[in-house]
Amino acid sequence: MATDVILPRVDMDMTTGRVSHWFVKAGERIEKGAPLFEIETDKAAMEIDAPASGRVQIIVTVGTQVPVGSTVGWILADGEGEVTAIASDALPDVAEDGVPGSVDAVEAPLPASDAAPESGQIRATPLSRRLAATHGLDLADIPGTGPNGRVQAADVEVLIGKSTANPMDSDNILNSAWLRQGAGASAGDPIILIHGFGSDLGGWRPFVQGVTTDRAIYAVDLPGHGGSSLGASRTVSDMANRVVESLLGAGIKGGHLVGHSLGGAVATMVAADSRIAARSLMLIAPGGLGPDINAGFVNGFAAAEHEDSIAAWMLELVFDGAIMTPALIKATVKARAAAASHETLSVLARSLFPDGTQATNVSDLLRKLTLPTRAVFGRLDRIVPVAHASRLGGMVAVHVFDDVGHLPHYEKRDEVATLLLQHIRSAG
Amino acid sequence: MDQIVRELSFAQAIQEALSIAMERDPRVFLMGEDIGVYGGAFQVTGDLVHRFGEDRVMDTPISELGGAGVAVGAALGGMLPVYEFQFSDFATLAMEQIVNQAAKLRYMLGGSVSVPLVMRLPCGSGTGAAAQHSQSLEAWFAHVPGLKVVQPSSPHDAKGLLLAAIADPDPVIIFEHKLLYKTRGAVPEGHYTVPLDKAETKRVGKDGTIVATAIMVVKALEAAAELAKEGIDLEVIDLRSLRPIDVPAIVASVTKTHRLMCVYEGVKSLGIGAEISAAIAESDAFDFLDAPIIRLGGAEVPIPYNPELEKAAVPQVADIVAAGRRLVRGR
Repeated sequence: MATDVILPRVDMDMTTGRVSHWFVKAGERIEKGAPLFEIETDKAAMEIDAPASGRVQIIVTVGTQVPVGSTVGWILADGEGEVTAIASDALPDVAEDGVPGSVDAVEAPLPASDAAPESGQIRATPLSRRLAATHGLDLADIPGTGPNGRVQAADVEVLIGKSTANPMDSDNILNSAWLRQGAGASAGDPIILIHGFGSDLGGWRPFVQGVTTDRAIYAVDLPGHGGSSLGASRTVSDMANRVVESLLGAGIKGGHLVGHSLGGAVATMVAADSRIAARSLMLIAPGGLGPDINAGFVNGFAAAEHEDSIAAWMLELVFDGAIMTPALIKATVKARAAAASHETLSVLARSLFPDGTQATNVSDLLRKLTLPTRAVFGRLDRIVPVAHASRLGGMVAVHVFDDVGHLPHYEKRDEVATLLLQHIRSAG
Repeated sequence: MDQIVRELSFAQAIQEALSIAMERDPRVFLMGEDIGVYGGAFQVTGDLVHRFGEDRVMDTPISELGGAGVAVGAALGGMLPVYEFQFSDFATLAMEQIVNQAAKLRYMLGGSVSVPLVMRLPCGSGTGAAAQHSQSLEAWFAHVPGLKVVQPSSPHDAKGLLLAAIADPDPVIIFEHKLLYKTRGAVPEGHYTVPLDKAETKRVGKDGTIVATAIMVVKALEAAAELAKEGIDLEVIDLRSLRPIDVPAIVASVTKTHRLMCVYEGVKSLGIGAEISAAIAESDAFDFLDAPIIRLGGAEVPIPYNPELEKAAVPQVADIVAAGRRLVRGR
C-alpha cells in the first residue's frame, strides 16, 4: 500500500510551508529514514525523512506552498502503480499569497491555533469533532456558540436531537421577571413584554416606569439574551415556542403582548399560538414585516464588545442621541458583559438575518390574527424601515412618530405608554 | 475493630504518625535542624525528643548536605531515617544526596540495596517568608526516577502517607504545605496507610475536573462550592502523588466531565500542570475534551515579600472560581 507523505508542522504557528528541495528524483527508490525532502517556513528550513521504503512519487513540486497536512508525495511499494486518485485536499487551492483557499477542516490533522481561524478552517473541540463524525455531520454546517465561534459538544447535540450536556443549556425555560407585581387577578390579564435583538428584559424598565396601571407586567429574556441560554433556538419560531413554554411554565395562560423589534415578530407568533390566550398585541418598531434591515447595525451591534463600540451602535437606535445617557450606555455594556456573549449574538444574527435579510415574515400571520393589534413606528428608524408599516393590513392601528428612531418607547415614552393603556382598555 | 476518629491538626497528625512509627519499629529515627528541644521550625516534632530521647530525635548541624548524606548512609545501613528540612528551599543544598545517591543506588547496584529514606519538606508560600523560604519545588523532585514524591492536603492523608512512606523500601519525598499545618480534619487513631500512588476524588462533579495539589485542593474545594451556587458542578481530584502520577484516575474523570483544569502552587510553566495536560492530550480522554485545558499555577517570579504581592503570585479561590466559569461556560 502506498504511503502518504505529508507536509508536517515543524513550527508552532506554521499553517503553510514550501517544499524547497526533493532529495530524490521522482520514481527513484528511497529507504525509510533517509532524507526525502526539505521544507521551508518563514522561520526555518528542515529535512524530512522518508516514512517508508519504496519508489517516490512527487505530488508537490519545489517552490510550491501548501497547507500543513497536505499530501506532498507518495512512497510506493514494490510493483505498485502511481497514485492517481488524489483526494481533493491533497492539492488544495493556494492563493498567490500562500494562504490556502479551502482546507477541509474535518480532515485537518492539526487543531486550530489560537490565532484567528483562516477562512475555511473550523474551531471545534475534540469531543464535538468526535460526535459530528459519529453522526455523519459536517462541522461546517454547525454554528459554534463557544469562544471565537468554537463548535462544542452542545452545538452538535442540538443537531442530533439530544439534550445538551451543558447545564446552562439544559433548561429550556427562559429567564423572566415580574417588572410589576400588579394588584392581583382583579386587575386583569398581565402585560407581557418581549424585547428586541441584543437587549434584555431590563431594557423595558424605563418604559415600565411610565406605564400607570394596576396590571402585573411580566418580561422575558429571549434565548441567547440576558439570563436565557441560547440552546437550540435559531429562528423566530424557535424563540416564540420557548416564550410560550416559559409563560405556561410560569403559570401565565394569557395576557396583553407587547413586542419591540425582533420581539415584535416573536410576539406575533406567540399571539398566534393556541396555547396562549392573547388578549391584545402591541408592536413597537416591529421586525418580521419585510426583508429589509440595517445589516451593518445587526452585525456590528452583535459583535461589539467594547464600551465605545456598543455606545456608537446604540446611538443608531435613536433620532436624538441625547437620550442615550452615559448611565444607559453603561447599563447596557454591563448587561452585555454579564449575559449574552457577542459570540452568541453573532450566531443568532447569522441565523435570524442571513445575508443581512430578515428571514422571517410574519405579515401574513398578522393579517390572520383577529385580536386587537396596534403598531408604533418612528419615522426616522435607522434599523427597520418605517415603510414596513404599510404591510400590516387595514385592521392594525398604526402610529408613526416624527423625529423618532427605533426606540419609540424610549423616545416618546409617555405617549407610547398612553397608547398601550388605551389599547389594553379597548381590548377589554 | 472500629477505628476511633478524632479531629487533629495537620501538624499533629504528622507527629502522631512519627510517634506510631517509632513505637512500632526501633529502626525508625528522626533527623533535622532544631527538631529536638525546639520542636521543629513548624513545631511538628514537638515533644518527641522527650518521649523517645536524643538518640532517636537527632538535631543536626546547619548543613543540609551533611544531614542528608548521614540519612542516606543510615538507610543503606538498615535504619529507617525520617529527615526533616526546615524549609523545602534548603533541600537544594542536599540535591547531590537526594538525586545522585538516594534515587540511584538501588538501580546502580543491581537491586542489591535499597534506600528506605523519608524526607519531609515544608513548602509553599503564604507565611511572609519571602523568596528563599516559600518556593514550591516539588516538580524538580518529581522529575527524578528512583524517588517517590507525595503531597498530602488533609491531616488524614498526611498521617497515612507518612506511615506508608516509612514502610516503603525506597526514598519518599513528602512535601508539606506550610499553610496546611494548622488546618484540622478527622484522623483515625492507630496505624493506617494511604497508598503512595493513588489520587483521590475529593468532590464528585459532572461539568469539569479540577486536578489540584496540597493547599490548592483546599482552595479548589472552596471554589467548587462557590461555583455550585451558579450551577457549575466541578469534580475535584487531589493528586496526592506526583511520582508516580495516577493518570488513570484523571483520564476517567476527564472522560466523564469533558473539561480539565490543573491548579498548583509551583511556577506555572514546565510544571505539574504541563505534565497532567500532556498526559490527557496523549490519552483516550483527548477525544472527550470539550474545552481547552486550563492551568492555574504560580506566577513566573520569585515569591515576593510584600503580602499582597505574595498572594497575587499564587492561585487564590477567586482565581479558581473565575477559571471554573471560563472552563465550563467559555467566558
